[in-house]
Amino acid sequence: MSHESQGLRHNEGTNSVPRRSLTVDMRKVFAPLLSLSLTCALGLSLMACGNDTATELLGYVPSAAISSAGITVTEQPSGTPFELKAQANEVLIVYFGYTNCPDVCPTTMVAIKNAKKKIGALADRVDIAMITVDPERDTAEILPKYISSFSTRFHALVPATNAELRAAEDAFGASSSVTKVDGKVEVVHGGTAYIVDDTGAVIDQFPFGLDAQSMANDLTVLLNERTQTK
Amino acid sequence: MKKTTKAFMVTALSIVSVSGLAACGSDTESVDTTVAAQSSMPATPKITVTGQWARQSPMATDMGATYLTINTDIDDELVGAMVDTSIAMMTQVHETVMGEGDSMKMQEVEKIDVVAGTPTELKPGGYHVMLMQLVKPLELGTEISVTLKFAKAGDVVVTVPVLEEAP
Repeated sequence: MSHESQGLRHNEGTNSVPRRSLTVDMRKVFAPLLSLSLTCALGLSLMACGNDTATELLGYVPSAAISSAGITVTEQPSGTPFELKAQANEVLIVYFGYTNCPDVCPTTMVAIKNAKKKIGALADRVDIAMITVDPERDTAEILPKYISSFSTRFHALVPATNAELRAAEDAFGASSSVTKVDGKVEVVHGGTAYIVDDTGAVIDQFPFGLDAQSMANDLTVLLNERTQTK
Repeated sequence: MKKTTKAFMVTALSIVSVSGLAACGSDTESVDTTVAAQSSMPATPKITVTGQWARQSPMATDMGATYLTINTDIDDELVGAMVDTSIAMMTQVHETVMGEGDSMKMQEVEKIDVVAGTPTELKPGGYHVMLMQLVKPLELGTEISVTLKFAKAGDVVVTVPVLEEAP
């Protein structure tokens, strides 16, 4: 879903896509030509992300408004409620994951870490909140340690109740499950990282697999926008 | 097993090639002689592994993952993987599968088919060799030895550097 939407975004943002050929004829001869030009368009828009003047987001901007305003999750080790929104003039990256996740979670966390490295001083205005979907195993001691491997500035959020986790997930349209089968714990979770502004609105989403350079592009665009509107 | 492993390590560095059908026997002498292809026979079928890396394990977790690309001259099956118990207590081949929306979960796979001439990638978000109950964290700059088990080619031992992300 998110990947498709992301692809669509690239195409929309590029005027050189010969849309008319779609309506003229869809014979087999045109199919490869069309896909070639779509590929070129995608390539061009990806190339643009290396540019300092890029203004286009490479993540996936939700089509309907999503907000986590007013939603809180218990932060550890302090035990205080943390509201899922950024500080003024900053962005907050919200990620649902768990520490016994050797593949998906660290891939995204390392990409975020490297994206922050790429944007210099702007990185000071990027905050990270990781919400564990596996609070039974990810305790107040474990989660902060885990996230500290990826960032010095973070919020380790361990839902105190199932209702707290579900409320946070519902705000983002996310979901997860933890089930025990034959003594093994199986965790299903979403791979998306949500970029939230200081009102709690989701302004961008990083689907799983988005590379650090693309994330850096988006963080730069979003943070520059926030500087300009101030 | 241990001796064979050692001999393999000597004859190969980070990229390991193992002569499949003939070499997987038990005595160490045969390993040395089968490395060089004999002119009277067709080239020895080979499985080589490239691009291998293990992810630096974050603090507070005892799970690790190893990624690599399998290149093979023969159709074969990856049926398992192992590391020494001084590294991790359990090793499995896993796959991250996408569910509805952006949901993802990991599951153990029984085997991965590898096809002659087509590289098989184990990469983030797909297949990986999962190291469970790590004895100690996988630290940047170190290396681990991972044994891949193939149905036909037997064991292929790979020296895997610990990195933060794909090389």
